[in-house]
Amino acid sequence: MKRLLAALLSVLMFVSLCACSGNKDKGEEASDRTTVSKIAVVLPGSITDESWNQSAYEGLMDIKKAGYETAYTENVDVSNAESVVRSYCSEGYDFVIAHGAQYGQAVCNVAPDYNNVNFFITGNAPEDIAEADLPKNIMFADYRECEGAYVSGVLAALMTKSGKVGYIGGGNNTTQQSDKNAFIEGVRSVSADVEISTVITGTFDDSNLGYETAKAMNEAGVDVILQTCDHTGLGALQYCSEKGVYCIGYTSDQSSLVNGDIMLTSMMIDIPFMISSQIDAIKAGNYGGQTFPGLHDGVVSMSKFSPEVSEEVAAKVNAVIESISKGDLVITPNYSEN
Amino acid sequence: MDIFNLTFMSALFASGVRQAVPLIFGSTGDCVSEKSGVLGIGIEGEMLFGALFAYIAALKTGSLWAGVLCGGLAGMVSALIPALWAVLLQQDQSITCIMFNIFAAGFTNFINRIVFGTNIANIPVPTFSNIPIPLLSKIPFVGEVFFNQSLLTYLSFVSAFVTFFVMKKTKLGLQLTSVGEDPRVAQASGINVYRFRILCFMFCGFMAGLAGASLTLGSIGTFTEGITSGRGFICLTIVILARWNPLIAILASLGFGSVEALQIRLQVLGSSLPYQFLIALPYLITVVVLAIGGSNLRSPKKLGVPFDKESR
Repeated sequence: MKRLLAALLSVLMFVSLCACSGNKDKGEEASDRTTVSKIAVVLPGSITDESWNQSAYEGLMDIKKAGYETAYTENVDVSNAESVVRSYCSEGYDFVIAHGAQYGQAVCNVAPDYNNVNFFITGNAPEDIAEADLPKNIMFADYRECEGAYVSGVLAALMTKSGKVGYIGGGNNTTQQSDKNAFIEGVRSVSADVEISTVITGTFDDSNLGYETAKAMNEAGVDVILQTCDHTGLGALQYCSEKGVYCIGYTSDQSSLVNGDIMLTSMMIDIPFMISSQIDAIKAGNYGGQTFPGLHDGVVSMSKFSPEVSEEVAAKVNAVIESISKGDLVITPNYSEN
Repeated sequence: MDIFNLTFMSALFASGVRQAVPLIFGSTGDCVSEKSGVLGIGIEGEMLFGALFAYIAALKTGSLWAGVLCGGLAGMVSALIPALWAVLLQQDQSITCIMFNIFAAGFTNFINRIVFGTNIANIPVPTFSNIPIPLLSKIPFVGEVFFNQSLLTYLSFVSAFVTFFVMKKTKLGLQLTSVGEDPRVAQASGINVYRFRILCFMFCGFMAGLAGASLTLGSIGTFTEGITSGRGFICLTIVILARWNPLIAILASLGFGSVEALQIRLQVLGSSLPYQFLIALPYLITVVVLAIGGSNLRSPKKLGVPFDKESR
């Protein structure tokens, strides 16, 4: 029995080796990158997080409805990203989306080996690679999430009664760091006296930690909280909902997740659109480089203000949104960690 | 700093106690399982099963206690999977349990999506509210920290105390030790080692299920995928730190929970330490304590060794 199993396994191994070598001779020949048929997405978290990953999944589903073949992998660590991306490429996927700035390096390693594949990264290019050295078949959407965070900061500073506002982040990528810094900048633009406490939880999955963090903040007097950390953030929202603490949602309109009108607004990122619109961009040719979508083209937007926000405050915040979209006020992403 | 006043400290430790609850449940169960000679590495997965089914049951029946019970049972039933391989088929315990954990992570997500779909947020259920114990909760500081908590918290303490009593003071406890130390002798004295180990492992699963239930029903009232976030592995460390003693495990859990609560508060107060250091702090302290206190450690002699009654 054991021998039979061993024989079967070795046959299987041989076959799979053949299969591997069969794919090798693609490479250079076709560098026509204006067609797309099979699309894969690599996600850092799970598609039920009501947030970052779920919205990418929804974008992918829009693509699927349009008749393309799609696939996705959830919960991919940065350390595994390269092998996941590589295996999609070798399976014939001709458009691979890596959903997060943290995957930049991995994709930059893979991209030169697959000239006929287009890549998309939802985030900025790795800072340690010179712009000229970036592989030409990667599009970096360095979308200005920080513009939304800045606006949230302005709103939080205008709404706080205790003079203390808080930010809860998940950490470990540049988007999150720029969110935090822009939030602080936004608060400071309104008042130099408002105290800001920031917590980086280090995880996007631990709702209980999010709950405890929001509680600790509230106990320290914080009365408006912005969270940008998916599942961890859901825990924070749960606390806010229980205690009636003002909060600001993330990526989609999350106001249905809390009781009453305590969710002032949500900073929404139209990830579904950002992803599904790439297909047209590929077909237009010359795909690659960097784009900086933001408030001005609707990729970043704020959801409808809650009735708790007075008209006067709303007018002030809308003025800020307007001047950012017009380009009068430029929010530069600041990736410094502390 | 005047900020470290009594109110701050009692809020800090109360948060520490809340965060210790799943760890106390989990490590109590693991103490028993490891005492009987079976590594409880599958505790992370059992916790996930417990968390999911506790939430589903609480949502469908509207009763929190039905949720807790279902969570425990789900943990117990799921523990049968690794128990089958690790005890009956005498496979490597670490490997079976690690495989089980990976299975649990995927399978709970799968069930979650079947039951609730991917498009709507899980509806939160009401959570356990704090029930102050008369008189005791009036003690300054200690009362606020320990005696103004939810029933689930009290249950975790009681279960650890009862387990300790059974382990140290009863015949059952003696049998448990003998099965872990020398299963052959235990067999000779008439104990069915396989059955005993499986029952201990199931007990561990039940406690892990309660730990999971405390994660979903304790404060957030909903299930999110991967909600355990490695707490099961922390339990394993706590059990070693506590030298397989549920009472010391309570202390270790409280220590871990409090350091976690402290690091959050240090960040809230705007500490100048880098946040990466603060996030790592609870784990760093665990490693340091383990390095200092881990010498002259005496684990159950046959821990991790599958028992085969026919071999010599």
